[in-house]
Amino acid sequence: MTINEHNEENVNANLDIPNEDSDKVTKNEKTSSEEVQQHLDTTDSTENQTDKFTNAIQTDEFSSDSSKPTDYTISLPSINLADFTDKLKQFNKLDLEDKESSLKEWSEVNKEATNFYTVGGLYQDRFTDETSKFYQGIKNQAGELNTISTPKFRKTEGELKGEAAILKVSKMLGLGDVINVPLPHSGIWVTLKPPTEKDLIDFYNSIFREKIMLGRATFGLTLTNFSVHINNRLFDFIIKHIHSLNYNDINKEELKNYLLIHDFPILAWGFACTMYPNGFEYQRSCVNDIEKCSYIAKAKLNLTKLLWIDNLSLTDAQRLILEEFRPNKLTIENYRKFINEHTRVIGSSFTTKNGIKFKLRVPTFSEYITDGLAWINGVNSNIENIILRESEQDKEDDEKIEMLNQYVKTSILRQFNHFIDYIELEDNVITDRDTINKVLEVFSSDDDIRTEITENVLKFKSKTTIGIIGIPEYNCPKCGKPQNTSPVNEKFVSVIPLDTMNLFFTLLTLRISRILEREV
Amino acid sequence: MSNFLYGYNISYDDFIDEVIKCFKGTKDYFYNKQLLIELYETKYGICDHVNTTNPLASVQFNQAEDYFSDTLYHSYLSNFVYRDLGKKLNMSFDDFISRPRYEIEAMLRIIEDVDKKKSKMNDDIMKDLENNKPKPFNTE
Repeated sequence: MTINEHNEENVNANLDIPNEDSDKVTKNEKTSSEEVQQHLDTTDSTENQTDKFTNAIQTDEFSSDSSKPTDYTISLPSINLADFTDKLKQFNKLDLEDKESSLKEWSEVNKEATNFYTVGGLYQDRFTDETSKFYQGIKNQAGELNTISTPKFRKTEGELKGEAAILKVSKMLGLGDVINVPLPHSGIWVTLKPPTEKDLIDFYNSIFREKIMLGRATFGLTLTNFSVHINNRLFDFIIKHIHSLNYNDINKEELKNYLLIHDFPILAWGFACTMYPNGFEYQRSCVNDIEKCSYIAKAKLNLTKLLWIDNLSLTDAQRLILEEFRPNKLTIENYRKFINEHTRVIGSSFTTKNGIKFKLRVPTFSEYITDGLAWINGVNSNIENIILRESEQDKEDDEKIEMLNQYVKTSILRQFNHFIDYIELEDNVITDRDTINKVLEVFSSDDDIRTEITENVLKFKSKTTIGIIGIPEYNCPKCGKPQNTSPVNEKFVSVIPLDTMNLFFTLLTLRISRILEREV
Repeated sequence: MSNFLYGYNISYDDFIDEVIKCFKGTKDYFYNKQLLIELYETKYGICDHVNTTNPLASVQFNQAEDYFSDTLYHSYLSNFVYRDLGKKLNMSFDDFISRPRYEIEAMLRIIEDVDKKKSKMNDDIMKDLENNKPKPFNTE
């Protein structure tokens, strides 16, 4: 998933409904919600099982009543994407855009909230998997949950040195909050320091600069894949704010070689938690029956409560390793043991209809970046070759269009290449990265194989994820109705996975800018 | 605020379609390149080369690509100067933005509250003074 794909999805997924009676809408004039519907129907349908089973157990309240007026309120989804799509069908006939309508605000809240769905409801099926059990942390041997937390400084006598001394002094003076963040796929705990605003501004400016340069250098053709660059920058930025890891022989500069890609959103979320230790204001609208209730609930969200970890997918040995979150306590052997113990975060394979076998892997962050940047560089040179070079100018327009079309399709598969470990063709195995990429380009031109590979990779991505950032569904405080259609008791809840990266960047820019814009 | 997200609502496929539709290349490499740049700038909302009358449009500095003058740094600086934060907080601008965000938010909020209270107190005092102003002595 890329930020850009996400945005494409959500640009389509707006709630605008024409300001006219549904009778007047001709067959050719689809309402926006119908378009949304159509669009959503084509996305992953695995989340359609949500009303059958929920496996997430909520022990911590994630929000509290908001009494004060707020500077900036972020809108989050009320129900999962599949149910929301169904609701849209029901709301089709309502006039949501009428300025006088009380539903206008409801519509705006939902429009913004759709920005934070994962693409195609990715990971939603994990919360209906009967072989999983999600808690808001990792259950230790004593039965307590270990999750994101502020490290406790032991009372020690004698000399205190270096960064530990600075952190302790900062904490005593209330000047900063460091937090421990679990990365359950990689078996690592990182201790993060909050960034200063100056750091954030520099970071923001640097990715903005990069976007400008890259856009101009590639005529905008790589900007839709810009997320690789952003993620790379963000990772480097977070690294600068890591105080320590729980491994003695993994230093933070090497972390990208050890961190599995599924942990990156959790790392970004942990980093956001350091920026907002006091939570932030958010709102959700009642979608149970819009004709009866369109109440918008406002509350303060505790970001630290949004991590859900599938405890059934961790072995006892892994849980034991994850119990040690103190800095520098574990060794590389512990890391290897943790990775080898995985029962879910492991490679798997699938065979296409024409007998080609793909072995999939969960890549490290480093592997993701290497393959991602190679893909972008490939885009540049290919586009140049197709469009600009003199040698291509003699080609007929139709031929060029075909080349470009083929290239577009090619690029769709290349964005998943980091998940492909190797390819088996009869008795041969392809392991070389460049060759895998070229083979993917060949496969890409076949619509059937391309769809088959894309679906399998997305399924694999979801299946191998055991730590997800998500917000539980809720009962409307006004009408009391549950937002989802399945029965929910006090402990078992259905969780809506959130697009962490989008949330992070929204928090980075919008929230503070609203505060700054108020007075001056 | 300048918009870092310019062009984010454009899908890759749509953009390629647009390139295919609009791009009529020649054998001149540099001409082709310039054409693509203009297509990119127009489609991404950076500069509308179709409707512009500016003959220097091809080399102008575009507002959308200005990452400095209307961004976070600029807003902080404006706030710091206009609200006289240096004096109120007894810190330099560098000290101010070298704090974590939640501290800055807290400082801004408190300063705003204090300013409001001060302003209300001033208004109240002025009203009191106005109401209690000695009435002109009646000489008749």
